[in-house]
Amino acid sequence: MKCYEYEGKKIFQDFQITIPVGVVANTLAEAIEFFHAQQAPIAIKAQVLSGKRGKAGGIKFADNLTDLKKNFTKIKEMDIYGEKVHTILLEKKLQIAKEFYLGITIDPGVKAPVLIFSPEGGMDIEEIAQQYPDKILKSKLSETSDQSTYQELLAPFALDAELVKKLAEMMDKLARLFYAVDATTAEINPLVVDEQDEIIAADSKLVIDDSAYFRQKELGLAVKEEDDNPLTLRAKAAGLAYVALDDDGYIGSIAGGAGLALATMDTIRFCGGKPANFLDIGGGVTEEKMTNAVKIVAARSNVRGIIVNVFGGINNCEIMARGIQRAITEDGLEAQIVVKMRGHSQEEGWALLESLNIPVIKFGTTEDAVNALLTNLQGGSE
Amino acid sequence: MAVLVNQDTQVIIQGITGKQGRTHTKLMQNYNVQVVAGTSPGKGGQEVYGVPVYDAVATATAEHSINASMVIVPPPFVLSAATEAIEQRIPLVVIITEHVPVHDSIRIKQLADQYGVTVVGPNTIGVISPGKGKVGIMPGYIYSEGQIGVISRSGTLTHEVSSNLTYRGYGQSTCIGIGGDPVVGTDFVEALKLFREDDETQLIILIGEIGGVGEEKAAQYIKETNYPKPIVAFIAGQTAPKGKKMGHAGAIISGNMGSAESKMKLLGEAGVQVAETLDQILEIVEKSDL
Repeated sequence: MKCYEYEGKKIFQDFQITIPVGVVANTLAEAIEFFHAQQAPIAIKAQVLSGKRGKAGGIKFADNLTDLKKNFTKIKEMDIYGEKVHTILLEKKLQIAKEFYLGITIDPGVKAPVLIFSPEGGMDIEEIAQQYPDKILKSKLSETSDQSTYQELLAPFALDAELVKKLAEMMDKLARLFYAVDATTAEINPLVVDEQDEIIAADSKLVIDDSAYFRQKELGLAVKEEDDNPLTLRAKAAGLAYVALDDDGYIGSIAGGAGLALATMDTIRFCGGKPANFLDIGGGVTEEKMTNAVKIVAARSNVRGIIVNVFGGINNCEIMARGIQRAITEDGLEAQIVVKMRGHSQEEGWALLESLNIPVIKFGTTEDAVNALLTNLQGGSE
Repeated sequence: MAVLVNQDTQVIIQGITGKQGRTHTKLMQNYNVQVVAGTSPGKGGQEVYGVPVYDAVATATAEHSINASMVIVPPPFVLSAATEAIEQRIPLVVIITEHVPVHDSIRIKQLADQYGVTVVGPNTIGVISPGKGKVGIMPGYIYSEGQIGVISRSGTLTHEVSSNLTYRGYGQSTCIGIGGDPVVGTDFVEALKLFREDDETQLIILIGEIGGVGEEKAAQYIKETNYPKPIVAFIAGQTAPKGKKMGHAGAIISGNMGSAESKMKLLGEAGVQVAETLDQILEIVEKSDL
């Protein structure tokens, strides 16, 4: 789960990482109160999950009440890359002496977390990599890495000894945090040294592993829906994964497993059809889950055909067939449907579907199934 | 010969008393797999379909000769279950469970390397050497014995490709579901190394999908080592919209990294025959020397 900047910074604080003086403000009154308390220039920062927020105008500054009112209101009404500004973080503006980049992320290639550091902060790591390829440190991290490890890593940058000590301490704190909260990404960009020589996390980008949520509940993160499509939410509530595709798509697809769902989508396009959506039913499919799946992909009015492409591996074909039957009886499904199904209890599943006059692909390929559906749809429109 | 699993494989099922554990114990027995023991903490002394249940792996290994484990416990318990099996030096540990915290997968992989144990998964259907045995949850009868090695990130695509091959008369030596997570115990490269040494395997099918770097690493390995066996590759998600998470945590494209296009290009440059559609995999196999 992605954290908003303010959520990440709250967790930073728990690990003794210094953050700017700040407050979350949802109303102008709160913002004015904070401004008066600070008696100093402040930063107004939109809290959204997408990156490149600064470039989209999501960060503004104010050193007087007029600017504060104007900029706060402007950001509050903003839409950043399609995401409404959910809340605003106000911070005392930092007096920056030096900026760095510091991040930790999981590198699937080396099957371990890697620490990434650059003395060139303040821009995206991709930009740093382009402009200063020699000034990026990338090093595999382990749970036994400590401050001396980091001090050694920093040696090639020829920074002054006091600064190296501070940076190593910061790396140590971030690494501890990374392991403790099951982070998949923890980034501070920029990491600032201010004019008083204090090292401060000016921003936070923190992503927590969804699979580790069971042991990270105490972080108390706000639930975020990255996709607010009503059908996606309805599917999620039913334990299914729905992805909306082409607006003018007319084929709904239900598949078991992400790989097969992707391949089914590709096949629909290769065969000249247009997919409206795909839904991955995952494992542990009950009759009810399958009924929901059919109803959800059929919900968009332009869906004229549905392909069901599933296996009885961890699931059972007979149970899935019963779910399809129930969706048809309950909703009087108008869309044409073709089912390709094989695996555990396939004979029972096939027999049930055939009794409902649903075309069943038993030994054919996904392409055979898609072509059968497309042919049936042509027949229907003639 | 096949790889990882054969007729001599003797399996322990960790989490045998759960619903999934019971179901797949029975299905593995139906496939003539020697399921010799199971574990479930606090349930030692019970039996599941005639298989003795122990509290701990160490107790089971003292009583039985075991050379593979199938872990099918809920996500919070995977790390400790896998650790038990690895510390007993069971040479193959297959983790079926989905939604394992990635930090735990990293810890498991590091421990396995230290003990010289092969871990497959998590989030996998497991491994099958058709006609010989399986440590996994795949329906055995849509697979058949033969000379094609299959390596896949997606469970159901393994079923799809293997069953299509079966219905056309092409059998498989071993099919390895490497798992859909970003960090897995055995990746494409490690699986390719296994098939390289296997006399029975004459052709390899590599089934990837968008996201991650596994296919890119495989392409590099194939090119650098001038891999001696023919390989056919297919990448799912060629028409996926960018930036959207499409099911598997691993399947997300950011920028050009992990796109189907770049994976297919690199594999092609490494001398792999890249199929654009699932049916093309079959066409390529039919034209091969098999």
